[in-house]
Amino acid sequence: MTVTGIEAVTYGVSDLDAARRFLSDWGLQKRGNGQTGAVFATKDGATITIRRREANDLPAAIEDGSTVREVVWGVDSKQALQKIGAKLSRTQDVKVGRDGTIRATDPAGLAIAFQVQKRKNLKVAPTPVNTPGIWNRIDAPALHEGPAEPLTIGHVVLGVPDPDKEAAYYVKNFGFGISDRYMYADMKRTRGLFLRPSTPGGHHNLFLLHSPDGQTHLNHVAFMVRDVNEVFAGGMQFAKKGWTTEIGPGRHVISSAYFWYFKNPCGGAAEYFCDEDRITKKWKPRKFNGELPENFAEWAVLHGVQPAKADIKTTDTHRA
Amino acid sequence: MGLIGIDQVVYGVEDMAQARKFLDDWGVKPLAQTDAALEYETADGSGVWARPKDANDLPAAVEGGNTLRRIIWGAQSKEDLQRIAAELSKDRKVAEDKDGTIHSTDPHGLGISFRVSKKRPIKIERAPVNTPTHVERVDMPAPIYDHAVPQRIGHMVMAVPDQEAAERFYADRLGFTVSDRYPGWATFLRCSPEGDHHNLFFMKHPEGRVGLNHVAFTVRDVHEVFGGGLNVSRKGWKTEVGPGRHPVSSAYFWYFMSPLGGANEYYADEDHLTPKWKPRELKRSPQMFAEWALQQGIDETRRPASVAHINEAKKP
Repeated sequence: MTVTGIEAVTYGVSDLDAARRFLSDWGLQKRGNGQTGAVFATKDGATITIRRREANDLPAAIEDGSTVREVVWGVDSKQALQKIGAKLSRTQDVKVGRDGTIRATDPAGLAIAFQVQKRKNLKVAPTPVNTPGIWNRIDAPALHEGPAEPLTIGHVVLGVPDPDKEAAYYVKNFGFGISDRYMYADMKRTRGLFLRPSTPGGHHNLFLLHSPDGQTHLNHVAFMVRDVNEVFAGGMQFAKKGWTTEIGPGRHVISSAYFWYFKNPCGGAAEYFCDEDRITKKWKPRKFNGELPENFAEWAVLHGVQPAKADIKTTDTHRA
Repeated sequence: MGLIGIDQVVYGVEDMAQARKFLDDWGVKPLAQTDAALEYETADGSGVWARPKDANDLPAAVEGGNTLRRIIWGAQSKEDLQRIAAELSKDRKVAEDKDGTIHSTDPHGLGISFRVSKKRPIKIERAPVNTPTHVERVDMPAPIYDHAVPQRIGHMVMAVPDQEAAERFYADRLGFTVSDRYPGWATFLRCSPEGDHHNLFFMKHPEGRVGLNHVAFTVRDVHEVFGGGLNVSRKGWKTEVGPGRHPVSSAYFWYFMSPLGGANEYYADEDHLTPKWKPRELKRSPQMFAEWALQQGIDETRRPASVAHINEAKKP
């Protein structure tokens, strides 16, 4: 039984037009558009659906306002899907769709679903990198042109009342692995858990943060781009369209990813990221003090970056 | 010609103590540290030297104050040196050291020397990079550098009265290759037909003066530009501009004001050019200088605010 990644995310939103504009500017491909919603896709075919939040065929919301309404996970075979359904139905209500899709609700109240993977496994290499002596890029500049083109949905981050319980649900039922752990400063209580559905795999596709108010919240959904050049260039292009940076660009200590977060009218934030750690079964989960800023980011800019305001100084050559 | 790159830079400085502190913090390795001589090297053995500005073994200064006094180019062979000496002695003084290093001056009065390169061959290993289907890094976080270790000296940039004359001197007399030009303003040159995007950059000074702009040090990868720059900032040195990214040469950069003269730059991931490269005619603009840039570095004191912000389970 192998869960392979995130196939789809559905949002229920207050302002459909703003959500539509956001996802279009974000660099996603438009797959469908209508009065009651729209569907977008990443390059590998993972879909992002937006609907009016009052639409009565949406699963229950985890919180008020615009937020995520369902996360769909892909599995590697029909047999695996049936196994998940059989196992899950012993302990909770499960709905099986005509196409075999399994629908349930996780302990934090989030609607989840499982389907045989429809996403393509994209072959993507980062822009070649040069160092003296190892030239992977010859007679070729490395700048990213145009808007970002998100490759896939990398991860979903939720604030939940009990992250240990929530993580155990994904580990026990779907075989997720724990990659790393955020602790409170006492290093006893869990502050957050980084989970990956498959091993080997990326560092995390699900991050569960403790929610001090005891409610469940969407924190953000992250979209993978090709490389660090695209995080910067894509983020800048997106900011130029008027969207607000939440934080970024910057670099995470846990997972090594470069990031840039924007406030998202679909709910929570949306993140561009790249260059995530790759985890195999040899990986030993680590514990970090999750209250230390240096464990969140090696560095971070709070309000984005812009083109240079002035070019190289020629008049002020002797600057000391 | 068989030039390899910059083998050594020699500065004349007013304050040797400040220069020493800066070089210590910059991450180059000390070999000599006296009141009369500072001698450091990059990982490949390229020299970063400073002398008191009135030291009598320094060539005349191109400008007042702290500045670069001599740049030593590394050549492949003695034959290269002989050819260069013969060419330069047509119209200027050329002296030869006991060890065969030849000394002269360029049209701006900068001391230029040539020797058979003393650089050590080193393997420069950048951090591996991941995508889901291009996995170079397994069970291994990418490095976070707490300081930079400059690997080599990449290039020198100077403002000059006539950048076209500078281009002619270096290209026609010394065999440099033009990589790109800002017509009417500036020229990028590399010392060998295949090599770094630039080892020299000359810009026209609007008042017709000569002035050192900066010397650039290659670091291993983009992570080291950030980590190294953060460290130099923490040590109290002032960012000139950075971090940021140059569209021309593709390099990530971070510039600091240097008490040795001009600025010092950390950079990584420069374009590598061959004879097939066609020099571009560029139009000067801030966007051509930097795809993006922070004007004053990264303020680490704001990071606690950042973690509080992002770590809130609920987003505003």
